[in-house]
Amino acid sequence: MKNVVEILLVEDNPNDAELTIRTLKKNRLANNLLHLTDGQQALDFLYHPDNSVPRVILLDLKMPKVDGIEVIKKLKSDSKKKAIPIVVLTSSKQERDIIESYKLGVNAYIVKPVDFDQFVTAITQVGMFWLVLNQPPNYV
Amino acid sequence: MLRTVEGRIPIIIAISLSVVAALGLYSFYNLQQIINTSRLLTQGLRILTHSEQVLKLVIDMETGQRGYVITQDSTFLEPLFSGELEIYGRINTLDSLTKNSPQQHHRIDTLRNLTEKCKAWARLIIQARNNSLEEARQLVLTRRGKEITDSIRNLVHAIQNHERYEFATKNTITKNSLGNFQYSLLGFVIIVLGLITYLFTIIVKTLKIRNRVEAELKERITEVKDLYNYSPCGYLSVNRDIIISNINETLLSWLGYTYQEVVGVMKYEDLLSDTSREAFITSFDQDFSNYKEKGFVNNLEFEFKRKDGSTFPVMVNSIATFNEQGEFIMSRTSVFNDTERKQAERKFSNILESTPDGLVIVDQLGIIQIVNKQTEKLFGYTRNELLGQPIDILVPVRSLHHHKTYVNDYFSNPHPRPMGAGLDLFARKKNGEEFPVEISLSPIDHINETLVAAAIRDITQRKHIEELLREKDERFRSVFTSTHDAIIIVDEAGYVMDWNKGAENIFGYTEAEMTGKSLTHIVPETLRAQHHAGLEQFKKTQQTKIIGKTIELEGLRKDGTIIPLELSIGASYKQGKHYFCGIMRDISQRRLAEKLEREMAAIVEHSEDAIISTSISGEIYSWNKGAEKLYGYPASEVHGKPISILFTNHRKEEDQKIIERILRGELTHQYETERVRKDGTLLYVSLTISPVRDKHGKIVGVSRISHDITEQRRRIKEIVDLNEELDAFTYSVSHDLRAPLRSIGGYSKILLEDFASQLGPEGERLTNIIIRNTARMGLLIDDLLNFSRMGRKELNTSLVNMKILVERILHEQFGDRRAQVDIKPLHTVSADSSMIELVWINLIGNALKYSSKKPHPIIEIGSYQENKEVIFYVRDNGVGFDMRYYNKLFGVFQRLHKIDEFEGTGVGLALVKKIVQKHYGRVWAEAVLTEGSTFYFSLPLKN
Repeated sequence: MKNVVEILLVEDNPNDAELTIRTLKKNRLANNLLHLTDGQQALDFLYHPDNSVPRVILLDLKMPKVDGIEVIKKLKSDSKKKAIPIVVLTSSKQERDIIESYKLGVNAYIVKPVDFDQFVTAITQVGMFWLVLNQPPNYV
Repeated sequence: MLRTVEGRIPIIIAISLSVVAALGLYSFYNLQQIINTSRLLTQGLRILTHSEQVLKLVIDMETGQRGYVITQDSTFLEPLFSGELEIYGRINTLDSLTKNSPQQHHRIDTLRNLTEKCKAWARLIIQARNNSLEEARQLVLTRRGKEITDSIRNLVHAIQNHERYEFATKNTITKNSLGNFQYSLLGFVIIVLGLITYLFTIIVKTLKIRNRVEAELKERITEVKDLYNYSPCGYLSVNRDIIISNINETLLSWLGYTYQEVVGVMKYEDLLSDTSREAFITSFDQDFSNYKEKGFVNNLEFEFKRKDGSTFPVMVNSIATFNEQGEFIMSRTSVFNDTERKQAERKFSNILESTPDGLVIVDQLGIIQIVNKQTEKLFGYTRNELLGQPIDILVPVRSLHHHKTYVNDYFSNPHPRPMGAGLDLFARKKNGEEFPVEISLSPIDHINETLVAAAIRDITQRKHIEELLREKDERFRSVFTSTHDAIIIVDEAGYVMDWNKGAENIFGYTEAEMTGKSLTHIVPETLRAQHHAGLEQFKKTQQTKIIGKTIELEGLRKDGTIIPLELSIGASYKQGKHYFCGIMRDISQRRLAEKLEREMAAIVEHSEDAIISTSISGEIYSWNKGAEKLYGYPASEVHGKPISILFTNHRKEEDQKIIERILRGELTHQYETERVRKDGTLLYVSLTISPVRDKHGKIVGVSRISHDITEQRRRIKEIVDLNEELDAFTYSVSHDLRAPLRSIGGYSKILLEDFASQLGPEGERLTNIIIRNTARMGLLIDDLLNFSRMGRKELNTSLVNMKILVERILHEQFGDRRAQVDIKPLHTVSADSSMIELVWINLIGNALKYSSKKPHPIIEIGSYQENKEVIFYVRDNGVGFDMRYYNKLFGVFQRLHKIDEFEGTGVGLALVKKIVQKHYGRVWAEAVLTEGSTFYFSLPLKN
């Protein structure tokens, strides 16, 4: 029996994580959400055979141990994992972060708005899009 | 005639055959008639015989019966019994014979009944006799038997008469048929005989004609053979293998062979001399296929070889013959003995070749007919390249038109004369080169046309000498008139004969003013005595110290000023008189230059910069005080040393490359590099390298001016480092300050949403203040980040249509504006469009913001050109600002209004300033408090 995880949230800032999870919960999108706090944990989870493939990974870039860019590099260069949608969710508006992420093959890049209302809107739309609208591939 | 007879024969034969056929048919018909009739006659004869026999038998029976009645002797009954059977048989035969005649057949039936009755009667009689004679007699007396017998007899006679009648009739028919048959047979024979006679006549006639024709033909053949054999030209034929198949006597007599030695034995090429044969065989394949295609070949020149080995020239014409399939089967050739013509030609050609000029003979169409060896040499063409070509190929293209006119004129009145008298004529060589020529023309009457012989002489050499002389003269003249030096020729009394332009310029007198005047006009007062003394001395001694020397002295100008001069004097003697030629140069410039040079040297010597001159190879030959100070070497130590003593190891090749570029023509080269001092310390210099040229403009050395920039570089590096630090700082500010801000804002929002009842109205107000300030701080961080990022961004310029850009911004960014925006024509400029967009957004945004509280906000956007800049402005009728605070206007985080009056972070105008400065432009503003403000920015027209 696999552990069903639909959203994998990788975020080291507990406040940002809480705000994100709260927003998703309010929209009933956080039923199968797993929150991990660094890139190493994320990779461990994704490469564990008992775990299901999430429908989307919400990934922060600046994290201790293994950072977001490294996680993207690892997943997108693995033919078995590259199909998992990755949405970068970060405070960084830096051009070089955006360009590098897209070059590595992320599926979306969202700058977390400082304004909370805008933040709520952004998170809601991301959750709706990837869990409701988007049709994922069928994993074997 | 023969033809008409032959034409008639088939018709005659056809008619004869149809008549014969008709006659034959008719005979056959008659013969058939005869055969039929005779068959019928035989039949009739048999009927007669058989009926006769029946009657006889009946009578026999009657007789037998009568005999028996009388005698009762049974032997009389014999014929009765035997006859009975025979009658039966004969009547049957008759029956079958008369099948075709119903009348007769009926009679035979009656006959059969009657005979039956007769038989029956006989039996009755016999029966009765056997009973008694009386009874028999009584019966006989009834005459019944006689009646029957008579009937039979009558009947038989009737039958026989019928047959006889038939017979008579048939006989007549047979006779007619026989007659007809005879006549038709006769006709047949007559016609065949006629036909044979006619054909025979024709054959005889034809044979006669043929004999006559053959006789005539024989005569002709003999004649043609004679003509062929004894014609003045040779004939020969070859078969498809080029083996000689016929040859005439004339050719044989030329060759010395007999007919049998040649025909079927020799090939065509065996008749050729060795040289001709070689040429023939070499090009045979090509020539022969051309020949087969064309069908004939004319005027080929060969050499034939006699049996004794001697040769003679011939000209041959050949015609090819082809069979119906178009295959070549033979070739007929006529051969002309060319010996005499060739001899004449040789004589002519000897004359032609011995003339020293090029000789070209052309016809009236201008086609070259004859040329000599000299012509080949002159023009570089071979003879074959020229013959048959238009004379135009020897005429320069630019003269072709005139030449045609000359040729036509000449043929209209041909007589010997030079061509184009008084004109410079040129001829064109094969390689296109032209050379001057002299041409004499003479007409030659040849058969029916006039040819023209042109003798062409190359006068290049003569022209060349003329040209040299002319040039020399011209050179002298040009030197005389154009030199800046004064050239003055005076006679031995000191009077001016020639006064050139240079003299005019130096002394201010014109040639007209000075010619014939005394030279003392240009001798300053102080030198006049000396001048006269010199002249006097020359008169006496014919020599003077200064001839052939160069001296410096002073001259007097027309305006009275004295100028320094350099003078050399030459003397010449012509027709008993002496002349002096003085060449004077104004050396005031040189004097000035010498002065300047001294001054320059002083400047160089005392400059703070190191000024070093080296040879091209880098050898130091001048080294100023500045260099001593900068590099630590005294001048004496470095003279003649290579400049590379100042180079650091890794910059050794750099200098060589720059010297190469300067040698290729670059004027100066400025760059920054490292140098090493005498004490080994490193320094940075800004180096200007320029070529040093001699007076001919040739680069003879390199001047190197170096300026110490070590300190300057250190400062720049400091600034760069600081900038990088600032970069890192702003990056972390933007990133790390955002997260806590979001948390503060987010949790405050949660407080409001989830704990509103516990907070109470005051708590709610305070929480809202937290949220507003958080949002404002977010904006501040964003703007600050943009501002610092802009400093590092590279310009990416293109032509920007400002009007389109401004209209787009108004539409996209300020679509909900209330103000009236008035856009004047805007210049298109070269700029970074994304940066300039930010400038407009800020300026227009400010204008809208600060005029938003006016009842009728009006904004005007425009541009104008001033000097080399385009100036753009945004004018509003808003609140304006106090010009006293103008100096704070474009500073970061500087605001002239309270936050609760107008929102804003105070970064916008600082950003505008930064962008415009990056474009090498300026930004400024004018305002009247409460009445409005105008913001300007300028962009240079060309970067």
